[in-house]
Amino acid sequence: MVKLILKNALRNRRRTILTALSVAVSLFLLVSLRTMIIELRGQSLMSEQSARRLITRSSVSLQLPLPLAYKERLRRLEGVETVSEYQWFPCYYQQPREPMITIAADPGFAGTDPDYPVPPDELAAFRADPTSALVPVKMMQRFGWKLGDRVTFSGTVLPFDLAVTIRGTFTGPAQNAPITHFSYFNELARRAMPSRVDRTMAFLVRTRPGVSPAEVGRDIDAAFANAEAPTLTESEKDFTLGFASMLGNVALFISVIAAAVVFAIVLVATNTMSMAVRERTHEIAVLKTIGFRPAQIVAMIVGESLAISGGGGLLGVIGAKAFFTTFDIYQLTSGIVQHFNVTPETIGLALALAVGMAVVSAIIPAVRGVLRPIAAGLRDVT
Amino acid sequence: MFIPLKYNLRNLAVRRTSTMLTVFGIGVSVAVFVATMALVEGIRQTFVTTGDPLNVLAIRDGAQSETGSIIEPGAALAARTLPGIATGTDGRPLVSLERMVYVNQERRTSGSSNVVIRGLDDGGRELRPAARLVAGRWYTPGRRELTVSRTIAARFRNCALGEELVTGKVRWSVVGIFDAGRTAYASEIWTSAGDLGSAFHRTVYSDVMMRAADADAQRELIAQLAADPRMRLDARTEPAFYATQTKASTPVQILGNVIAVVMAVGSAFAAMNTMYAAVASRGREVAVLRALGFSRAAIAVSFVTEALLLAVGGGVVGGIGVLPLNGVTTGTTNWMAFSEMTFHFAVTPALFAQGVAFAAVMGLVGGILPALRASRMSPAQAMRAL
Repeated sequence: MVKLILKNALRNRRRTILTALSVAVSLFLLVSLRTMIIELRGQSLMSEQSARRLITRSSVSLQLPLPLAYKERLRRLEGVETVSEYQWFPCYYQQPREPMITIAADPGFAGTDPDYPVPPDELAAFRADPTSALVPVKMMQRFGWKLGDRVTFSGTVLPFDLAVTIRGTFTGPAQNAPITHFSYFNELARRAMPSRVDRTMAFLVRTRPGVSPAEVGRDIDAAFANAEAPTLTESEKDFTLGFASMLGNVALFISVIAAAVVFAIVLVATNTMSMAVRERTHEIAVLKTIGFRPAQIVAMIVGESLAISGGGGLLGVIGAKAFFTTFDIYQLTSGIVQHFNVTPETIGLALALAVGMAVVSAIIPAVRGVLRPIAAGLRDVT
Repeated sequence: MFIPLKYNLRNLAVRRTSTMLTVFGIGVSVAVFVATMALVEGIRQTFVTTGDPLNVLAIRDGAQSETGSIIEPGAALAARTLPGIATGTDGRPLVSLERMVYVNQERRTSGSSNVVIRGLDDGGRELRPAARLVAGRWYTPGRRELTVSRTIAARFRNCALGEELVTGKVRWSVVGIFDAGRTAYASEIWTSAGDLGSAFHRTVYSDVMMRAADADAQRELIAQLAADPRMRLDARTEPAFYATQTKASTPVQILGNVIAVVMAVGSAFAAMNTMYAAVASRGREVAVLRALGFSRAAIAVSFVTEALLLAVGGGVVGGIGVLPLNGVTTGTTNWMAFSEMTFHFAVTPALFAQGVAFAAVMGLVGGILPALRASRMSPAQAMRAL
């Protein structure tokens, strides 16, 4: 029976290949779209450690910086392990203008997070030099930087430039922002923009192990509820999710496209199967005459569809996995997309979908073919 | 001599199921293509329809957007005194020193986003006639009042007429709603620059907007704003400035194009499938046509035409399928300004035509090989084939 199915599938080789390719291309797209949605939600950045990292910012706007005096108050709160300034510095690097963000933080905080390891000698060198930077390894590769290089980041929002020496590198999930000393940032602000001095966009708070980060977050916001600038504290994950939610309906839009893709594959596969059944009207009648039960014949046609669409689906899914593993999306998109991890769930889901579609697309033509009276089928000439 | 088109049409009608399935398959690809392009077009239209050609807008040199621009008060005040600025209805120079701040607000549906509050000077509203009051009244400077654009009022909490918007310790009352058509201003909340400055402890400005007396004065103004050592601003005409902001839609455009092309490849395979089947089952017909004296070329042309008909049908179906999207309002974040921008999907006739052309390409790619195959069949053999 299996042999017959395969023989049937290969009977019209060109059609089988075209259909399988069509399904493969669509499945490739589906896997990419789903991965895109997952990455939009920043899930690759999530780890056990990241749950312990909180971001405290003004509840009104990221544009309203918090006074540095908050740092000491935050540190004294129950459950707080370390606190660092967290200041974005939108800038560009040299020519051609390469827009990016650097983060000014407490040098004592940098390198202490297990998610973002820094070699010990590099960390010491970074901490000793206030005008130095830690740079993500992938960024070093992208710009061809070496340890000891002097680079200048020109501010696009704030009216000054950060000129730093690269003293260290780090690996870890987020690979798009160099880290500089907050004190250096503050000094430059004092000279160029006095209204902005001694303030930071946000604080990065790490909670002690074993305490509930959500509770610490609520405590922080309660402590500052009546202060000059009320705060909003979120986990790093929710902070990231907030940006995804700013995208609005983009995720929905991608899902609709994915649904359209699924619909299109079903159409293509149905078309192929109904062509196959139509060609074999005669044959099906013969099979019925020699005693095959209708259920068996339907199973045979569904099996053929499974072989074609399933094979195509497998090809597409494996192709997608291979593509996104071989090519570094970070380099392809100049660092805009940091990760493109095709998860096992996505692969499983896509394969299940391929099987489901293969069955759905074969059922109608198969049943229609089988229900034809034997005599009519035999009389059929085409 | 060519085979009449009617022959192809009838053939498509005979093979109804197959035709419909292929047409819809291509239609879906075209629909995705047109929908994405309609989104990009919507964003583009929003920015290109913004602005009076005589207006000049200046931001900090190197800044990407108004919200990301910081102009020191000295520079802004110097810009105000430049010669060549038109006079407003109140007899004063038409110039507005403005502040822009984004605040994190919850959407009425779910999630939150940054919404821009623009603080305008006296001349600010006269400089932007596109914004018309449709309910309530304009804000009164000094009273922490807001006039909100219609789209933002509908999409965000605490932004409707009579509601109160709280930013930290400051409570703002929404006293009016304005309509700014399909311009970028339709995504903003307006108040006076002074109130916004005091509420957010800001002495700096974000941009300087002015109207030039005439085109010559405008060129002079732009040159002065950039060259004067007190200012060194990046000045452009208002339409030119907003045209640069269409870059905000580039990521969507790239994403949409990639998806559409990949889907088109899949659809072209499907079209090829259908056409091969058509050729295979019509061996005898082709032989008869050849026997009647139609040339190989005529047969090839006929089959390609049939593939084109199939694809163009799909293109039209896909385009029509997307039409209901026309005018639908949605919003996403403009990453250049880091704030919400609302826009309307715009399914223009040009886009519709592009969608059909896109489908035609799929049809051509899918139809050529099968058509060549049909034209190469030997009549004698084809006749004999059952």
